[in-house]
Amino acid sequence: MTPAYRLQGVSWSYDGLAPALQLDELGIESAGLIALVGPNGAGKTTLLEILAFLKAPHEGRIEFFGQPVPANCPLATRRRVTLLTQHPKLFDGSVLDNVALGLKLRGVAAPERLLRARAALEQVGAEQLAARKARELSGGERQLVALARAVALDTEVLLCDEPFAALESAAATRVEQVVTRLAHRQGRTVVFSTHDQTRGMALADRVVSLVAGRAVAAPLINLFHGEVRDGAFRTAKIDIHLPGNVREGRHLLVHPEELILSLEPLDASLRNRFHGRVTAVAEQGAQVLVGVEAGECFQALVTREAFAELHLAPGAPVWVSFKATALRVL
Amino acid sequence: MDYFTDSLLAALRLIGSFDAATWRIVGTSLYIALISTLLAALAGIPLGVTAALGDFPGRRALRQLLHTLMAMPTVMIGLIFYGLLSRRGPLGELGLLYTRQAVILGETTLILPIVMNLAWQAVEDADPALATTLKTLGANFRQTASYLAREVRRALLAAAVMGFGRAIGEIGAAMMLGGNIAGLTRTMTTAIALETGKGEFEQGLALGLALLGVAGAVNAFLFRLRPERAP
Repeated sequence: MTPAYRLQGVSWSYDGLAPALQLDELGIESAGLIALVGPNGAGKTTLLEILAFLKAPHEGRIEFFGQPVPANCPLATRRRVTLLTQHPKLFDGSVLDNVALGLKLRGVAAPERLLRARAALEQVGAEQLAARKARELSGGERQLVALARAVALDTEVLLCDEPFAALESAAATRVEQVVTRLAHRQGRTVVFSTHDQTRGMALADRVVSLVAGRAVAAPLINLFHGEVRDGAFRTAKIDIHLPGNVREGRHLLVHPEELILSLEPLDASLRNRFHGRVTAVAEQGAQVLVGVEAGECFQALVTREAFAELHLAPGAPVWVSFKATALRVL
Repeated sequence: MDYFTDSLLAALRLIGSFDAATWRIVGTSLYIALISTLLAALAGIPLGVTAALGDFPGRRALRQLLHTLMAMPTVMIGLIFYGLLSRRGPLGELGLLYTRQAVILGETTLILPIVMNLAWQAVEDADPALATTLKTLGANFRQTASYLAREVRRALLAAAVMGFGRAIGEIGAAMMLGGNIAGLTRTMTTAIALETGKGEFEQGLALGLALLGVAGAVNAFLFRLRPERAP
């Protein structure tokens, strides 16, 4: 199937500053639910705005369903995507008017657009709000109505910027159901950003992790912040040895599968060795995710066999080791 | 009692007994200012909203020009249109000099930059998330502009009212282009200048107070327009 998006060498920066986003290669499959995770300032919103064709990248090229997108994106292409921003605005008028707005802008006739707006409100579980004045809604209600407004358009791609952030848990669950249904039953491409990595991993078919404007393959566990000095990456708590060629960076990532757990210190060729104790154990498919507090909190993904051999339980002392070459510094 | 206080009291009495000719002066003033405001709003509001949302070469320069034109001396407008409309000027054949149309032309030109600049400002002051939201819903440029204008309609109306205030209170263009012809182009401001010149200080003061009343009404209207805080 043609991917929904293919981005190559895409970068975007605020005037004269270092790039807020710099992606060598990023593909987004169609008909799926994709989570965009990363800390604040990682470039999630910028990427969503580029995917919504609201911002043109300063460099690089974008293909949308196999077609290259020019810098001055045509309206017809822009209308195939809907972005639900983190702080969406509602306009004067009733909730129903607001939900029908996107359809009105597309010239859909009144009877049809009201029908579709009502259906969308029902889909997000907010049909009882239809006649209310949009300006009188609470923050959570506004967010739901804005989601209904986006859903009503039923575009091929729906982008949501932190759709769960302002919602209480019942409403957040409802939103999860809506986006999952759109992606899995209706074949739409849904991309949502979240700083809540667990939710992203639990919900999405695929997780794209962003750190300092770059996409990284690893999930964002074992992400440490600090600075490079004298051949080591210094977090506030520990020093991590780096390969000789690394000179700078403010973030360091170690893939959880690259961490080796052992009861005794391993041989000296592994320059990064930290002693700590197990804080958490969780099954994750065929593997086991072990949390270790060793100055910083590490998360190691080990096979069930290896886990069984180590006889680890919460509180048990353990060594965490990894190669300097297994690191990624950004 | 001194001269000024006596005159003020006399002026207040005069307002109560304005004759038809005086009311005609007030009417002419309102007519010219209203038509000028309408024309300036019809052109200036769409232009200002479009310029605020648009991205075109010379955008900054245009903004600076508008700022300069807002402070344009009214006699300068009078002078320019006098040159254009006088018998020997390029538009002299139209025979517009010393007509209401000439004054309206001058006042419209005078307040157009004000209305346009304030409309521009109104859109700039609007929450940028409004325009973003419209775009994410698939609005084209014209739709974005028109919905945004609707959201800031109070500020746009205030821009027009501001233009009206300037048009009704100015004298330079009204005098030079209208010629202060009784019953035709005599406005409150030109009449005040004339009456005072003739030594009819009380009559001038009475008209001045009437003008002040109009200004007060405009201000009261503006005050009521202050936008309600959106949630």
